Amino acid sequence: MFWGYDIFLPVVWLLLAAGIILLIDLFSDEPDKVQMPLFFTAIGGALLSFVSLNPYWNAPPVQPHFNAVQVDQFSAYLMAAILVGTAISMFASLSYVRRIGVSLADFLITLLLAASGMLLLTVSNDLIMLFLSIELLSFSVYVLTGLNSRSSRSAEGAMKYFIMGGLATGFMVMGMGAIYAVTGEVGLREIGRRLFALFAQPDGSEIMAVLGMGAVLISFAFKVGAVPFHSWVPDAYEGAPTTVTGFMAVAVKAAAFGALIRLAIVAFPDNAGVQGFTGDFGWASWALWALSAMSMVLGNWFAISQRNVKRMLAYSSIAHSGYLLMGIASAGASTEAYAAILFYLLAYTLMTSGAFAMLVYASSGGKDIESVDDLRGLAWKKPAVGIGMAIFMFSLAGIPLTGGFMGKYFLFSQAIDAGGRFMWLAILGICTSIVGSFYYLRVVAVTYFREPDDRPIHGRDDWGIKFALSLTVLGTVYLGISPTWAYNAAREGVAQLQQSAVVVVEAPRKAPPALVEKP
Amino acid sequence: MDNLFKNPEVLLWLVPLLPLLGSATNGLFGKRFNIASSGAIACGAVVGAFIIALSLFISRVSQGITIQSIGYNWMVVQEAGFAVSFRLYADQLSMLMTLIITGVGSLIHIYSVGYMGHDEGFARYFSYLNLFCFAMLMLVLGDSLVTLFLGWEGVGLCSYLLIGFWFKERKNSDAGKKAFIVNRIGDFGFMLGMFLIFWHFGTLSYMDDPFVPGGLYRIVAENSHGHMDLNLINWACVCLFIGACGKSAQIPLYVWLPDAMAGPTPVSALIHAATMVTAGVYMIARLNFIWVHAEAALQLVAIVGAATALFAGTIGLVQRDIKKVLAYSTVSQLGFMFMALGLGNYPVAVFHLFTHAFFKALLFLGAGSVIHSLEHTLGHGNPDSQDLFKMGGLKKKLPVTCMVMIVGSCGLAGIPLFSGFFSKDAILYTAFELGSAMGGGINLGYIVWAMGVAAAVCTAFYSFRLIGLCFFGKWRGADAAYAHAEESPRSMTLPLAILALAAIGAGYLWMPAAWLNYAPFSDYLAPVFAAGQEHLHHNHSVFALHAEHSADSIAREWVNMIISSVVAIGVSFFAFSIYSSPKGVAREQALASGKMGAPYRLLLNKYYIDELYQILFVRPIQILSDVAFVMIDVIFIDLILVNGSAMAVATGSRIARRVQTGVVRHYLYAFAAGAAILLALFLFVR
Repeated sequence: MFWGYDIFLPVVWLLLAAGIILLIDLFSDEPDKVQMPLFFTAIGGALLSFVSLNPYWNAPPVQPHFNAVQVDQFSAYLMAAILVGTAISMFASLSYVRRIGVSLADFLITLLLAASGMLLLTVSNDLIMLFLSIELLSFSVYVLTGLNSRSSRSAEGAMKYFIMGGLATGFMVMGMGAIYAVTGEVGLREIGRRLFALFAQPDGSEIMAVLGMGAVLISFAFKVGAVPFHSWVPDAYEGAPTTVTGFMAVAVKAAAFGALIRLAIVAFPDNAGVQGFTGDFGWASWALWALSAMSMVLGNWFAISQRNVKRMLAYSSIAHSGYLLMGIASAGASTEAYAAILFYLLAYTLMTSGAFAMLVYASSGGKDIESVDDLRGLAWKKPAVGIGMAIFMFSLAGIPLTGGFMGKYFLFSQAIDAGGRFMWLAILGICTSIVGSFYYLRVVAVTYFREPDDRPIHGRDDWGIKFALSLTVLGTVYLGISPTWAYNAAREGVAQLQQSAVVVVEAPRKAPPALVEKP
Repeated sequence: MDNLFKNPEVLLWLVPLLPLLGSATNGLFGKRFNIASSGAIACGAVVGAFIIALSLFISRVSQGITIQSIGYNWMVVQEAGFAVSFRLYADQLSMLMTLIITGVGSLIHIYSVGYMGHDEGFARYFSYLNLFCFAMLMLVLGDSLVTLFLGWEGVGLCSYLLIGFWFKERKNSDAGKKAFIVNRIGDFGFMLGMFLIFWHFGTLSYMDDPFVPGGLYRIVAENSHGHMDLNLINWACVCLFIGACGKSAQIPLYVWLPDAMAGPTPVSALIHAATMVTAGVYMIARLNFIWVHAEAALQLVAIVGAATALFAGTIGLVQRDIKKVLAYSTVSQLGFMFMALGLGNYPVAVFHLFTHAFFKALLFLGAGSVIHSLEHTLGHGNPDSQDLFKMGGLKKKLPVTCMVMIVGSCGLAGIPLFSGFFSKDAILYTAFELGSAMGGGINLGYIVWAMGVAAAVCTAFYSFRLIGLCFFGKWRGADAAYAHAEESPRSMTLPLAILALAAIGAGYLWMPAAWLNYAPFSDYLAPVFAAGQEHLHHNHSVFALHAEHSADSIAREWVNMIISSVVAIGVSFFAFSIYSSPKGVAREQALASGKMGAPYRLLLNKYYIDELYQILFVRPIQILSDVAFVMIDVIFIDLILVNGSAMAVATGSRIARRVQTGVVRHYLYAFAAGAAILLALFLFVR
């Protein structure tokens, strides 16, 4: 159908919705009256996009158009997570963006464009597509960060993010150029094949290849906010409108880690190569080890001293990037680390976007929640804040019966399975999570055990935010109680991706490998 | 939907979930309810569960069809082959327990409406009581040791909450804590036992496990001929028995149960007599197919059970508090049940559990009725309202209560034709028969039998001492209390009457073989114990039960029956004749101050066991915890962790401020430096 272009349907729906919103906004005289149509157009676009993922579950991968994209269950899983994050962000923003004086149309259009960039990133199967979708996503997110034109902090955060992002993009282009120079290919599978042959029989150009792959990895480390490329995170998270922060934290991470895993499996061979081409960052395992360890330690440590909730959650997001990078680092030596990452991303999407939506909900009726102290005693004035915040914080801290616990359990157990230095990484992760639970539980303690201030609660909460909160609370608890389904889907997706990559049969060391391609 | 609820696999879930729902309703919205609506919700939930259980019993289980409910596997660990399977399994045994819990539970809930009507915390009370029913039903209905353990902990929690229900008095909350701590010791053993069983068999489910099809039943049956580490199974069973000692109040962990009488009296009837304390008995009967392989552990159970029966029985002889008498009697009767289990006669243990549930609940509720009528004048929590020496002659004031208490005491004492006679006699006969089967003079069977008969003497004595002191003779307390004492309301006497009928009738479900070959109870339970018995018969074990009766065994049964009947009737009559006369109390006090003073004080002070535990365990632990407080709390936590972490945080924020300057130029430096280091790592460190 549609000459094979139907694999773009998920993206097309989002872009179509963005276009319609643009037109409605352009031709309407009274912006107040079209709020609901705008909102429902956006939600409808996300919903249709979600529905159009349906053909890719339990189906073989599809790769039309010069293999520029590959749609498979792996990407469908990530796209679902991204769309859920996007939808939650939209629901939570229903009246929030107006309260902070941002036009709903601007917000929705940019959000939809960012989401379409993310969807494309998860399916990109060659370097050009990868670059284009990353740029589409990045520029949209820069704009989203600076959307609050009344706030100087918003503008500051956006500016810093943009400048740093420019540097990261430079690294990415440089790295891609190096890879192209060595292999002469842009398709990920072809690159993988060439690189594999190269590493089996090095001729000196493999140094160039490693530098290229490393530069690409560094730019992704920037996107997920790993230490030491994290410095934009606190400023951008604090400055951006709260619902945008939630979106940035979850969706950008999901898309970036998705692309990283695809690169690892399809394009980047491990350095030994004889065990079979399953793909990992074996050549970068110490670097990833260091990135992960630094992110976990510094993210959790710095978060403790933050009084501003959004900055605290920013550092927490750095720490969570560290946990996820542990999965990437240990993937070569364990069997299901990638599946654990996918599951973690899903759980992380629900709990983090829920936590940010909760900040919006808690701050209804006047001043925004900024400092942790602004939450004091709120559980008694607004019981839903107490319970919901407790569930999200428990989940972020990794306390059982929540999705966050199951995610950490899967990730850490994979790292322990991998053994050796990855086991130490897992032990470090467990220790830092214990430290991290301090600042998460402090939020819960403040909402319950501190005397409430006399600020009145006024202003009605719209149904959108209530819906977003219900969805995230239920989802977080569901994943904690019954993780099996989501985890198995992730495992199947990763297995499918691994099968679609090139497989080496019986390759002796230092001998030309026999290549067998699996359909 | 219609079909869904006709499906027994789904319907079975309603049995535990209805009380949970009732508990949640009363717990969340209780403040808006009055006693009528609160009581209606709680009673409705349990009665509803009883009706569903009864319909399932009639349509399925009584016809030999077991029910395995739909379920859910949680925490599936593929590599280890471990999953917590939440399923319910209703076979003959668990269904019987379900009927006891919901049936007796219903009556006690109804009774509570009258008893707790004037207490302001009634919604909290009913919420706890319903929650207890839920946990107890999960304990018996769950298809794995994990659900059993969850229920086990749940009933422990509810017991703690209800013992300390009137927590404003320190004595009551202390009793709650004591129960909780002593049970934790037992639970530790129970967990060890569970781990050992999982280690050996790879599953904890009885019937259905995602990784081990057929669960423990199948895996034990397949390995029953020499493929098991019997040593390990013995140890596992000993560990499980430690858990049972805690929950079912056996030596050495029985000390919490007498103190647990601090709770409201209906709670004592439901939790500390009829249901929760029998959890240990249920657990061993449930796992009988494993226990038959652990003969050493079984003999330990038999000896501990007999010792407890005798020991607690003697303490019960001299207690003055009406509820304490009944509490020690419960400990003693539980000892009888464990005796039967240890001798390998599981169905008889369950039978005694069954009859005991009725007559002991009846006695507690009757005692509650007495206390209720006296508290009316004496005030709530006045110890005089429970002091037998300050009662007497209440027969005229409380005729119904007196009648039913006499029925209950006849059951407890084992007077022929009352239910306790049939079940206790069967236990003693089991011991006697085993003694003759083992041969060789004095052996385990005869020793246990002798201890059991001695315990039965005590039982008969204190039962009728209680009746005599409470209802006959002359009133010895404050006159106002007697003048205003009146029979309890209908909501309390009706459950008493029903329980009295059950306390008489329950015994006739299993007639002694010497009289009549009529035993529907044991026929009904036979499939539960079939696998274990088959193994015993295969090995020609003396512990195997024999269905056919020889002339010799009938003769032995007659001998045993005549001995125990004569003892029961004679001792009961003796005790009653002393204590129903006005001089009874004076004679006991004369005895106590006379030359029998030393043994009397020994019994009155419960053999000084509490004091002994105080010296042996509590004081050393207090000293240890004082040391630990200084070492760990003051030095390690306060000095190192708290101050240390404060310092770490301060350093962290200083570094964070230094790093996070907000100046983009610095960010770029960090980026470039990080990239350079990483690229070096890529190239040179692999």
